[in-house]
Amino acid sequence: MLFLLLSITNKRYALSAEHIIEVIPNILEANTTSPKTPEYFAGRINYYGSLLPVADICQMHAGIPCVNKISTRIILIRHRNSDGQETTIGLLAEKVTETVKVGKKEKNITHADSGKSFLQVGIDGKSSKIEIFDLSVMLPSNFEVFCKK
Amino acid sequence: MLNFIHNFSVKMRLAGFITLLLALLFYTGFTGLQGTLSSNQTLSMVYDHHVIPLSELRNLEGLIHTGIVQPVDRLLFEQITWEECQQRVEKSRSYITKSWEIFSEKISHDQDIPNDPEAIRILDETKKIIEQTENVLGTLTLIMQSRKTEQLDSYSDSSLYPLAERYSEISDQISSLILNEIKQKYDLSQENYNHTKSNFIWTLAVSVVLSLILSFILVRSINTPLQKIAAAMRHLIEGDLSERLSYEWQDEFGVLINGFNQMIQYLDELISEIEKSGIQVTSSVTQIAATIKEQEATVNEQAATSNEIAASTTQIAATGNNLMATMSKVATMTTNTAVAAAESHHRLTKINDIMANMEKATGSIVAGLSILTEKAAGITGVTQTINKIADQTNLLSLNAAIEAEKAGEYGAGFSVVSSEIRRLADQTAAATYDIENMAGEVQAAIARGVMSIENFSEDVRKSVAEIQLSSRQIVEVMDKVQSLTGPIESLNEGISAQTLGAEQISESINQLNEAAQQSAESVSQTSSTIFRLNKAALILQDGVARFKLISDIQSGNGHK
Repeated sequence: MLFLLLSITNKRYALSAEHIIEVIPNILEANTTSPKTPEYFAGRINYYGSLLPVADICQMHAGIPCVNKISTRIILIRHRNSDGQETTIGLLAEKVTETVKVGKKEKNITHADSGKSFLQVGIDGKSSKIEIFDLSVMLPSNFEVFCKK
Repeated sequence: MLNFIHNFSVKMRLAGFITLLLALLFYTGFTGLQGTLSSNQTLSMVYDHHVIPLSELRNLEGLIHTGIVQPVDRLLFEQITWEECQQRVEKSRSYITKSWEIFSEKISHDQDIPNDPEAIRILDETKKIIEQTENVLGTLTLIMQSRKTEQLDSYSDSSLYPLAERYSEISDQISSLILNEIKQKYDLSQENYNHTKSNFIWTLAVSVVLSLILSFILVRSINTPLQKIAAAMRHLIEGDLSERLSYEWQDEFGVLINGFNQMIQYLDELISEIEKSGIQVTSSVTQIAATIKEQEATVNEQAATSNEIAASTTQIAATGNNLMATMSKVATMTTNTAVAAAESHHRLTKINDIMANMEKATGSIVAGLSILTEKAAGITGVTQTINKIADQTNLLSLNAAIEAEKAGEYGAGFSVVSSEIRRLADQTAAATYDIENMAGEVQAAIARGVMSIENFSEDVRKSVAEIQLSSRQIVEVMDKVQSLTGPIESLNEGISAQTLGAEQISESINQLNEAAQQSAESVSQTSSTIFRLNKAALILQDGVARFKLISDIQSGNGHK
């Protein structure tokens, strides 16, 4: 299985590639936020003719907007709503430059108490535990409302 | 007797004694003189009254025989003329008259004659004969005038020859008479002499005895106190000053002994004073000796110091000479400096031109550097572009990997390619990062270089200003150096005067040194003198220790 590595502030997460459509550069323009939207709403992008919403997961989980760097990119994912309708949204995350490939048996080292899953991978020549960015856990419940708009 | 004598002064005693001796001498002499006078009187009387008449008598007798009888005989025998005989008779006649007169005068002074009837008779007879002689001679003169030889012959036989015989008889009688008288006078005189002699001897003996007794008394009266004084004097000589003499009488010896006692008293005090003074002198001498030694040391130090000063002064003189040499060098150097300053001025002008060129060059360097900065900025832009490309490549590789994953087994090879591409992109990004850093460093270095060059340019401008100022100053220096020659010469003269002064000081110091040596010698002489003085003081103390003082006795008693 292939995982895309990303960072929220300094913490690394691994996102499964099966949800990912494409990774694109941060093409958001500044001050494109709209009123009556959550703080993590970063704006909308034009993706091949359709307008897609982008959520800042740094703002969502750490309360600090993502730093505007070249490595800060938008990850387009397929998100299945509670009503079963599948939408495409963008997640703005930092340090989106690497993928990591792991076998299926190595996956899901789950800690039962917190419900968090971890990957044991070797990155930069050293072995480390990386939390898996589970979309069902990490995205908020009212994310659908945000997606409709 | 002695006590009585002691109450008179020695002068009076001596005067009395001498007066007594003189009186005795005078008396003795007078006695002797009296005897001599009486014998002399007797002798002169004998001569005058007896010897002269006797002589005259003999003379008369002779005249009768030789002056009258002899010419008449010769006339009768016709040996002489009448005139001649007459003259001789006349002459004899006058002599006879004169002799008679002398005789009668001398004999009349004889006091014994009136007492002697025999003498009176003889004198009367003599007078008769003389008268007879007058008559005979008168007659004879008449006969001779008449020139009658027979008459003369007869008269001669009848009266002249008997007269002559008679004359001889009387003369013998008178002679015996006078001799008898002389014998009597001699006996009387002898008796007188004996008496006088015994008188004289007695007087002499008494005088001698009296003189001896008086001398003994006098000598004793003088000798006793003298011996006392002599004994005391011997004690004094032995050094005993404790003895005092006692004397009860008030004569010169009393005064002398009182004076002696007083003298011993004074001597006693004096010697005790001397004793004290000797001790004081000894201590003082010791102190003086110590002081002299210190002085000697001081003088030696002074000599050493003056030697040092002399050496220093000599050095000063040498330094002055060196200084003079240096000053002449300075003078030449000043001239050289003037020349060098002129040259410097010339070179500074050149430097000024060079500096202006340098300023221009700096400007062009700054321009070049700004171009470099632009180029560096260009590099940055290029790297940014490369960076973007690397980013795009990275993104592309990510998407390719995702797509390959989606493709499943068929996309496995593509997955490897995508990871290789991503690695390339990463290396490119790292390289561009390095280039970016280098470009930034280059830019920073250029900025610093520009700043430095601007500073340098500023410095060059300042230097140019300073060089211009220096140029002006060098011109002033040239003027001043040229005007310095005069003072340097006067300084040179001053230094030569100073050198001379230093030499004079050196001479003076040498003289001072000699004086110090002399004073050192005199100090050592003084030291030896003090040594002698000390010796003398010790001798003085020894000498004084010989004396036995009253205070010693008293202290000795006190100790006992």
